[in-house]
Amino acid sequence: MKGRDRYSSADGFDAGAMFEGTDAFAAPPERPRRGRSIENMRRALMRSNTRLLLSAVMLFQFTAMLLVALQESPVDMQALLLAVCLPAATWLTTMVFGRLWPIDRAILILALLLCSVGIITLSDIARAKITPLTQAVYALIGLVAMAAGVAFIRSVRNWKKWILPGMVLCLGALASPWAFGSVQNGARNWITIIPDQLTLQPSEFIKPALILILAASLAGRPRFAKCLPVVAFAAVCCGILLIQRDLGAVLLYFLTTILIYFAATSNWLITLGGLGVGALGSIAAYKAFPYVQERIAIWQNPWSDPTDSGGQIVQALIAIGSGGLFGMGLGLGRPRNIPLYHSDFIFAAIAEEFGLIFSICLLAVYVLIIMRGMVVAMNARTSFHSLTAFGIVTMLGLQTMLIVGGNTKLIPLTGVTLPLVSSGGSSLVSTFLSFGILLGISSMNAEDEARDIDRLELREEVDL
Amino acid sequence: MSDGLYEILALAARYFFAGLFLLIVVRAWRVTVRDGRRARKLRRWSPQTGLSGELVVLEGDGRARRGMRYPVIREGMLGSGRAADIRVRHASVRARHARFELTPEGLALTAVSGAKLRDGDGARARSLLLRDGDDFYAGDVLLSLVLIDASGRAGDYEAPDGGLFDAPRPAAVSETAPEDAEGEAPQDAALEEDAFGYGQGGRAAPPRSARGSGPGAGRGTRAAAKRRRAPVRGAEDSFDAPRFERPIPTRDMRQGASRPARRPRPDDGIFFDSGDRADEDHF
Repeated sequence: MKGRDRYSSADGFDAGAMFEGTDAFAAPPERPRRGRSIENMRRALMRSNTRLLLSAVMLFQFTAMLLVALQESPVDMQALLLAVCLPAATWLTTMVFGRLWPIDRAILILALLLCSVGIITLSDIARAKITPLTQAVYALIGLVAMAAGVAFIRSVRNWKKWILPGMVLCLGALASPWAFGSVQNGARNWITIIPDQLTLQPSEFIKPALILILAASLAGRPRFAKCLPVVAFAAVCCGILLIQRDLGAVLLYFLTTILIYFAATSNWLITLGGLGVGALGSIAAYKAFPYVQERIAIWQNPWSDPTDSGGQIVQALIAIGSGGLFGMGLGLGRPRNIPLYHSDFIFAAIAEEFGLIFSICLLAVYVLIIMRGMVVAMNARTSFHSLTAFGIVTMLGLQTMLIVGGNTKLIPLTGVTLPLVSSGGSSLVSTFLSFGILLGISSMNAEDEARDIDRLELREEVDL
Repeated sequence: MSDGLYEILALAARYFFAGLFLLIVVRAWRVTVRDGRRARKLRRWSPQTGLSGELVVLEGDGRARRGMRYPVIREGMLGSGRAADIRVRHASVRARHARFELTPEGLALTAVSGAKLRDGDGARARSLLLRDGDDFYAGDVLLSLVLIDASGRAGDYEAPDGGLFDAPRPAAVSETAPEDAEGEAPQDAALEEDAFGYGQGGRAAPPRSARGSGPGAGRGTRAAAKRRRAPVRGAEDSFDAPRFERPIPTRDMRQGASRPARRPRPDDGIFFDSGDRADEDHF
């Protein structure tokens, strides 16, 4: 907003000096040409039509699920049902959300596309039939959470008073697996709700809470001394997760905190200092924890143990390579050879079945969501909303980079999921909740913009 | 479906899915680019998009001289530093002087520790709640706040400064006869007013302080302009009122002394509307 043009520069402008020594009447300010009708102007300022985008997404959902349904003989009724329900749910969600609030529909449609890619892939590759159905149920819960997120961010005004209770709640939730948690995949960060049926990962739900707490504390560009409590809170969260051996979440929390802090304060010194502390912490963790050393060693040379510890990465690389440009075809690949193909390595499974072009387009969808989210952040009228939107898309981007990088052996593997695509209820619901908050901020931006357009029209009416 | 048939179908479908996903990405990209263009268009047509109002310097010197205007966003920092959202470059203004935030009640201003903040009457304050038209001192610079969406509606209140910034009505009878008939005398009197709209007594109302702003203290400047929309018939011929200009009054001027604004040139009406539409801010 600052310095966008001479009228909005923070340094101000001298209206009197603008006309000194010049023929002020010869240069009226830039404005729409006289004679332009209000209707033309309103049309030029309307948002883009997303109907074609929505139709393409619905077509993809229907045809892909139909193909999955035809894979079996007789026809897979569950997949056939999903072939009808997925496009219907996408259309209904877009219409309902769009009617209730002036949200950014493109972000919503792209989010639903990603979710449906996950359901389609799971329907194809999952051993148990219940897995895609469970994912669909979690998606429905996620949509409700998304609506709650929109309503939540639009309704709450005084954020500062919720910082301290929020911190206490988050720390309690993070520490709860120690009290009544279980170990899954080497990490003790799960809470068992129903044994062998329903588990919850608190660290997933702490992600949007962390972003909100950081944004509320850092809004208004406070001095470093005033940032210490929230920095300490983030450090404690990272410490708890490190002890629980959830390295992916640690990395995610740490990087998100650093980036939000930099966005809020523009303080290079402290930011670089924080990165330095993080680097030192990583070295210390490498020296102190054997499982960290193992991860790094496997990343460096997975072929040293291709059947055991390196098997995940080796199989993922083979799968991605087998897919080629267009993939082996839906249902024709062998993604089940990859351990954890439904969660951590789902990207490799998608690359095998759908191909490299499809996978790159999938990453492009994430990039587009991040771009639009950044626009939402830049257009937000308060620093709190701006930082919140920035934090959400940053975390989404970091998480995507971590898991895709791990799948392709660019970086060591971490235990994070591909947002909205991977199997996992906690991750899906919390990601939808974050998207709800982002869409809520976009709706507030749209309302403010509509007010600006009304003012512009009013001036044009006076002009005309 | 047999395995062979399914295999053919799946192999054909992979090109379809790749193409469809490519179409989705391209379409989403085009939507994003168009939305960006639309937003730039809006900012170009309406530069004050996202602004809450402006601060006008009433008293100051150097780089913060009288007449300077600073756009006000919804919240931020007022100071002389480079990172300030409102950068008032004056020796008496600190780098981080005060924090401001737009609330439903007005613009809340809170001094950063030790910074000099005074209301319009000169009394020291740690925090102020400013409404449209209120003055305050940041250091030694006297600033006046103009809010775009001022509280109160036109006609709900009487401007305590006697319409200091209201554009004077022209002499000719307007088309909206009944109201003008009632106000004919004030309109005639308005012609004899100086640029600051003083009444016949030539004495302005005392300046308002930030603290003393009442509930209906929102300025009706824009509201007054909205009221007087209809162009006055024959105004160009017999119009003798001061042309549009917004000279910033000093304390001396507000206490009685006045000077008439420049008389309009014959072709002034082309670029600057006089009379009803004179009160435009080009910000």
